[in-house]
Formats: sequence, structure tokens, C-alpha cells
Amino acid sequence: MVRHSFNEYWQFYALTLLGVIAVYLLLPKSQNQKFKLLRYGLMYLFLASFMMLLFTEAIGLTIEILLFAIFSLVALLGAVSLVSQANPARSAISFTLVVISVSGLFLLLSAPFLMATTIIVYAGAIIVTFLFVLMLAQQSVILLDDVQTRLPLTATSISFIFFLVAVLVIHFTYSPPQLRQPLQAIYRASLATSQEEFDQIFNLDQLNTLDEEVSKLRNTDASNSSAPTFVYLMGKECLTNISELIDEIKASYTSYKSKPSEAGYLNIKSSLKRLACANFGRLTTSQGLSSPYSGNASDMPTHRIERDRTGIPLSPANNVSAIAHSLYTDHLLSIEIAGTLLLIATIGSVVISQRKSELA
Amino acid sequence: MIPLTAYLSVATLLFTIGLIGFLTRRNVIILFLCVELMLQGVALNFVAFARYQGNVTGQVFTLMIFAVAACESAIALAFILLLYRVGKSLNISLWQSLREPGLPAVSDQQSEEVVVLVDAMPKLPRAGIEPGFETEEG
Repeated sequence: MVRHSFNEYWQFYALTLLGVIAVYLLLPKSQNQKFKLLRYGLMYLFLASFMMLLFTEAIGLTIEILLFAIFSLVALLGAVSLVSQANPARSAISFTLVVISVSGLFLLLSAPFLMATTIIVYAGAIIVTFLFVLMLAQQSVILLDDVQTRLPLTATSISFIFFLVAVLVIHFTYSPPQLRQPLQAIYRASLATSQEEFDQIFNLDQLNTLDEEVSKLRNTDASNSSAPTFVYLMGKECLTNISELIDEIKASYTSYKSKPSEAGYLNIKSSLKRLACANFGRLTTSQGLSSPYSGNASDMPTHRIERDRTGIPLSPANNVSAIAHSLYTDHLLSIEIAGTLLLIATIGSVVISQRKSELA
Repeated sequence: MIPLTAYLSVATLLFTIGLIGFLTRRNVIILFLCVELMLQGVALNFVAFARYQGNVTGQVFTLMIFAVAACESAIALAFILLLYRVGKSLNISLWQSLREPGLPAVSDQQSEEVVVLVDAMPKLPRAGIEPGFETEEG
């Protein structure tokens, strides 16, 4: 029996194939390269279709999504250019592009401290050192080594097979295809701006549909290899949690229907948001080691996390002091180890780069 | 809101491209740049997970990654300089003698065709006032 969810992901197979062709054609070759426009066009096509696939379920174009698309496209283009440039100096410059756009993504993930650190450490220190070494090992011409590649087709195919597997697992795990549509409907209802609108959009049928799908998944035999891929990969713990939440919401919705009130509406809306935005990854069953200074415990089920208007979890306010608190309470030993490591690396690089005559 | 899967997929693609570069290219410096690229992908994963769990543990871990990456690049660049001094080339294949004993040497096929060597330095347009060199007449 073919799992129906694998057929649903045929776009990812096509994307992988396109990626292999596009990257393989862009890798440097010793022959004179023709059809430059075609090769770059394929790469742009690949990146554009990758972006389209990520947002099959998004609602509307927001500034956030636009910024995400720009930053990640620039990062990926920079990465491809890093790999495909024959001149190492240009590769280093492309890497700067990647670093700057990845720090843009950090900013979107509300990590401004990491953004600053990335720009200072990578773009400021590491890249400059790389360029400095490049200048020391100066080549006035592009060498044969730089235009030839080792087993380009094999390496590209293997890497993209890894990509396919990883992306499929990510999609099965964090947005199971069976639950996607009912969750989408619930997310729309949770975006309602007024009580009247909410009453109009939301009805119990949407919850029932979701409940049905969840219990269908829960009743399958997980050890059976023909079970839906999500159950097969992730087990059922998170589904149990989800159906508990569904029952809660159903109970509060019936009491809200019998006696409508502003507070009841807000309560149901926030519960719906937590339900719609829950991630389905495997829960850690062990006790979380971090203190409240680090934010939510890592074993906290995602459907219990408080969320903001659009459904993103509330992060600790004031990023820099939150990181500092976390570093100096939960991760004190890690800091000491990192400091020791840096010291050892400093001594090591001094020793290595000494000339023989100086050692005597 | 942007789904978590979007961030994870972009991070995976960054990692994949870095992997391709690491497997195919032979310039030592490009190899290390590719490793840094893979690290960027991993760091993006950590930060995204931290954001969607609502804590900062992932960000702290990313800081540790940066510390290790800085150490790694310091040591690696010292090695590259040392190796360049000995071998006068950045080609990784020259250092095959460091491989495990008993393994056959990798030989990259050298193409028979004439390779066009392109000038690596940019050609800058002439600009500004030419400095007054002393000529023989002057």
C-alpha cells in the first residue's frame, strides 16, 4: 500500500531534481561555459519554486513574509555563488552576503543580539581574516584546481537526496498533511477581530473535523509500516495532548454558546490560536533542565505556549538581558568551556604559524 | 505568521549547498567557507526552534557555535598558511599523505584540454591624476 501522503509531496521530488540540475550546471568547469543565461535562469527557477512551496498554506502576503522571502533568497543566492565561483576571493565576498541575510533572518526571529554578533564576528572578523590569508597566498591567475571539481554530479545528487529526506521529514513532522486543512480553518477563525465576526466564521463542525482526523491518526497502529507517515515517524504522544485541548475548547464553546460573553470569546480565541499554531514535533519526555530565566521549558508541549495575535509564541522580552540571564544561570559551565576553548585556539594558532627557525 | 517549516527548509537548503561545495571544490579556503555556510544553516535551525518554543536556549547554543567557529577558523587559517608555505598551493589534494594508512590515493582526472587562465585581479579603470614620474628628458 502506498502511503497517500508520499504522493502528496511529488512537488518536492520535482524540486530536488531541478535543484540537482541547476547546481550541477553552475559548478565551475574547465571548458568554456556556454548558455550562461540558461544556467542562471534554472537556478532562479529552482529558488523561486522552492519559495513557492514553502508558502502553500500562508494566508495573504504580509511584510513579514516578504522580508523572509527577500532575506532567504539573497542568502541562498549567495550560497550558490559561493560554491560556483572559480575565484576564492569572490567566494569569500558571497559568503559575506549569506551572513548578512542570515542575520536578517535572525532579526525576523526576534534575535537582535545574535544578528549583531553574526555581523561582527562573521562579516567583521572571520571574512576579513579569510581575505587576508587569500592575499598572502596570492594567485595572479585562476588555477586549474579552481575550475575543476571532484565528482560534481555524484556529490550534488547525494547532497540533494539528503535535502529531500530532511525536508520531507520536516514537513511530515511539523505540519502533518492530514491535519493541515482543518488547522487552517481554525487558524482563520482565531484571527477574527470582533465577536460578531468570530460567531460568523467559527462553528463546531470545524473542531469536529479536526477531532475526527486526529482520532483517525490516533487509532492507527503505529508499529505497522503502512500507518500514516506522521504516526509512523512521530508516535502518538502529541496527538493525545492535542485531542485533550480540543475537548477543552469544545466544552468552553458549548458554555459560551449558551451564555455569550466577551471574556468567553477571547478565551476561546486564544485557545484556538494555541491549537492552530501547535507544532507536532516529538515531545521530550524528560524534565527540562532550564530555569524560567531561559523562557519556556523545552519539554513544554507547544499547544500550551502562550501566543501573540498572529500565533507566534511570546519570547522573553528584552533579548539581550534574557540571553545574559540564561547564560549566567543555566549555561554557566558552557561559557567557561567556550572561554577555555578560545584561549587554547589562540595559543594553538600562534604555535602553528611560527616558522621552524623561530622555534629553535 | 511564517510556519516553522519555512525556516527549517531554508536552513536545510543552506546546509545542502554547503555540503555540495565541501564535497566538490578543492581549494582549502573554499572548503572552510563551505563549512561556515553549513554552520550558518545549523544556527538558523537553532534560532528558529528557540523562537517557536518561546525561549532563548537555542540562541545561547548558537552563541556557542560562533565561539567554536571562531576557534576553528583561527586554527584552520594558521594551518592553511603553514601548508601554503610548504606546498605553494591551496589544493587539498596535495595533502593526501595525511590520509589514513592503507587507503588508496585519490587521483583527480586532469582534463587534456587547454585551460583558459583568466586574470583573477579586477581591471580597474584609469582615474585621477597620473603621478608625475621623472622621465629621462626631465
